[in-house]
Amino acid sequence: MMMMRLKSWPWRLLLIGFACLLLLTCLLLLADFAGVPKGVVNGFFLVASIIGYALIGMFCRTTAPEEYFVAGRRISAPLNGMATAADWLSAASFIGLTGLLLSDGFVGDGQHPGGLAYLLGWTGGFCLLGFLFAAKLNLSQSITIPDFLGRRFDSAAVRWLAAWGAILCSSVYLVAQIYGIGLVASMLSGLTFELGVFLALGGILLCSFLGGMRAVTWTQGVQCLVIVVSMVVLGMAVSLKTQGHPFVTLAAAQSLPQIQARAQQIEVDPAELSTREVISLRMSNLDVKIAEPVYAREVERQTVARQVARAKAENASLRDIQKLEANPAWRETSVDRLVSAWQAEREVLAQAIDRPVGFQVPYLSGWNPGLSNSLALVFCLMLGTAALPHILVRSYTTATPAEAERSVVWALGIIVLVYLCASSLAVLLKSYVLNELVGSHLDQLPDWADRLKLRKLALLSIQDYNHDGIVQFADIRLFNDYLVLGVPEITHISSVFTGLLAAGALAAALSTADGLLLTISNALAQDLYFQTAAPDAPPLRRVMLSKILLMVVALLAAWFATNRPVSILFWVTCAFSLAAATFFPVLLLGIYWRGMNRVGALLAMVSGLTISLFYIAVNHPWVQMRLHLHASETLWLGLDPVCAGVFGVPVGMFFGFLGSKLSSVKN
Amino acid sequence: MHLPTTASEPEAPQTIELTHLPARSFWGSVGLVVLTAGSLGLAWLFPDATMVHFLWVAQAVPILYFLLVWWGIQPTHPDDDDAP
Repeated sequence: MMMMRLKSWPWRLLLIGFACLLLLTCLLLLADFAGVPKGVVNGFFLVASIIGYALIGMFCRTTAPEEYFVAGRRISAPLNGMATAADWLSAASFIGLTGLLLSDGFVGDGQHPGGLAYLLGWTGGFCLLGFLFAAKLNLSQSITIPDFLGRRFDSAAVRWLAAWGAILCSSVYLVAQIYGIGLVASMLSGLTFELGVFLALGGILLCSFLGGMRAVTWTQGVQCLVIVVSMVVLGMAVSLKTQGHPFVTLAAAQSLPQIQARAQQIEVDPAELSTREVISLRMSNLDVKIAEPVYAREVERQTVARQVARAKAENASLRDIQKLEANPAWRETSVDRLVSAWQAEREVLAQAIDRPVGFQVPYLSGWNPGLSNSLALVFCLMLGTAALPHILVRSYTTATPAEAERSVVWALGIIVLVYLCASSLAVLLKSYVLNELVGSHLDQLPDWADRLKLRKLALLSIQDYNHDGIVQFADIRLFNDYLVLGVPEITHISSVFTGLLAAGALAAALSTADGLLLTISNALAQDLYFQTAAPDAPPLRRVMLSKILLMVVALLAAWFATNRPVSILFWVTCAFSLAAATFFPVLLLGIYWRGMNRVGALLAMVSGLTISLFYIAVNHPWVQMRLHLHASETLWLGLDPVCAGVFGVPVGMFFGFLGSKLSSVKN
Repeated sequence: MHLPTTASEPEAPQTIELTHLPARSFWGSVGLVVLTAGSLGLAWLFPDATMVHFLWVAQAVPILYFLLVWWGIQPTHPDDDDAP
């Protein structure tokens, strides 16, 4: 039986926090019923969250190295599990999973993996972490993953390379988190995206800068409570609204048959079919334009010029004229950017007809690229979860290896609870989309659709492709990455839940960003600078440099995230692939095979990382456009670039084995 | 207490102890692969059985993962039976 020794005072604090959160939600519900403006309620959640996390950081401030880097190695299994769960539940998985299941369905569209692959990959990885690595890492008493590898192979080069690997994986992940933080903070506060990012960044920095791992652990414990309460309470509220009881899984199961019937009806509706034909035609036109961009641009420009002249002659409104001039062929001077805009438009159109109406595409049978992609993605996500440096370092913060393993069980339990609610919510939301939105008149949309379309951070867009004035399923575009933030509006529950949900999303993104920042700054300071330039530096100097680097990295990530639109799910999944390819082979062979040596370790990391990076880069649209490549030439086995780890891991294992064998024979 | 900040400091073990994979971890990993592949296979074999996808794959399998990892870590330490 699992031992659960709970020290009384920290747990009393967490339970008081939990009770306060529930009480606060009830009070805000009362405030909402009393007519307090929505903006005030939402703003309260934002400010209270950030101030709360910053206060924990201030109370836990420390300059003692053992406290700063590994939280004194005395965190109990339940608290470490909560911190791991919060560290792991990122903006992508907390905000994105519901939207992903809703949009891509369960088993995918025959080309791409469905939501189930993410669900299984993200949860199954914790089994590998518990079975293979948690206890062994704790036993080593290291402080970072590069430190562990450096000592295992007695090699500064291994440590140096592992540090760069950890920085790369964590940075890719961090940018996506900061972007998610900006979205949520700006949605809650009404501030601009950039200000939202920097406001939330203040909270992160106050926490991790002052208290390092000790403060981050306690903050993540509280953030875990916020995440769980927000998702569970939201699930219960939506379930109560739709089926009259609070059991969200049961409510989803009750709704499924009716959703399926409605989906089948839509799939054969002539209006839906005609919309899909129009979209296919547009895609063919775009293919022609992309093949001959210069000629197509001239033709398109002449057409737009005539339309603009006619509109001006007819005294059309400025808005109509601006709409005509928004055509990329008119606006863009660079052919590359024009092609890129057409490719993006084509991708949106392809998604509109590929994604399933219900939860699966009809008549999907036999082996197809979607199945290969699903398997590959599950592989990458599982191994990536077990090899992400910011998750692995949590194994160092417990007192014993057994506690480290038990904390993995706690973490998985919490994550599963959140995901059960997220997948059920996806089913319940689908029923609103199919029943209330599809088939409605464009000028009589459901009130929630109008609100989601018009808000600053649009969660929905509708384009009437066949101009019949009726919304068809293919006309709808849902913004998966953050659609879940619109659940309270879609399901007509109190707006307090918007604030609560956004507080949960903010907690998820902030907690992951905290962990990532610590990992990057510690790798830079401990594994790169002090290891090479100042190996005898006093502990206080090490802590101070880590703190300074943490701030620099945070600002750099924020600058990057605010300068470019980021697909949160794409970047996060790439980070999993990179982590799997860089660290999984070297950790597995390093811990369980005596024959693994430093040459093998170096080769395993270099080859795994290189092959994965290459695959992601060569399939990136920007690189393809520059080098005039086509996806059909660069995709291996038809696998999506985010599944790069499926090539990186076996290559890393092979070269790790080969390098060790060959160098030991030579020696 | 003083932190072992580098490998050269005395508080950290000088070498990393290598161990065999405990039997439960080995069979747990096998169970993970079988459960995952079996569940995805089931979903693909019956692509129209949405209720099965939802109740089994999206709801039951994550709970089974939880039970699997809980079972897999029970005998915790290196003196546990080695993998076959």
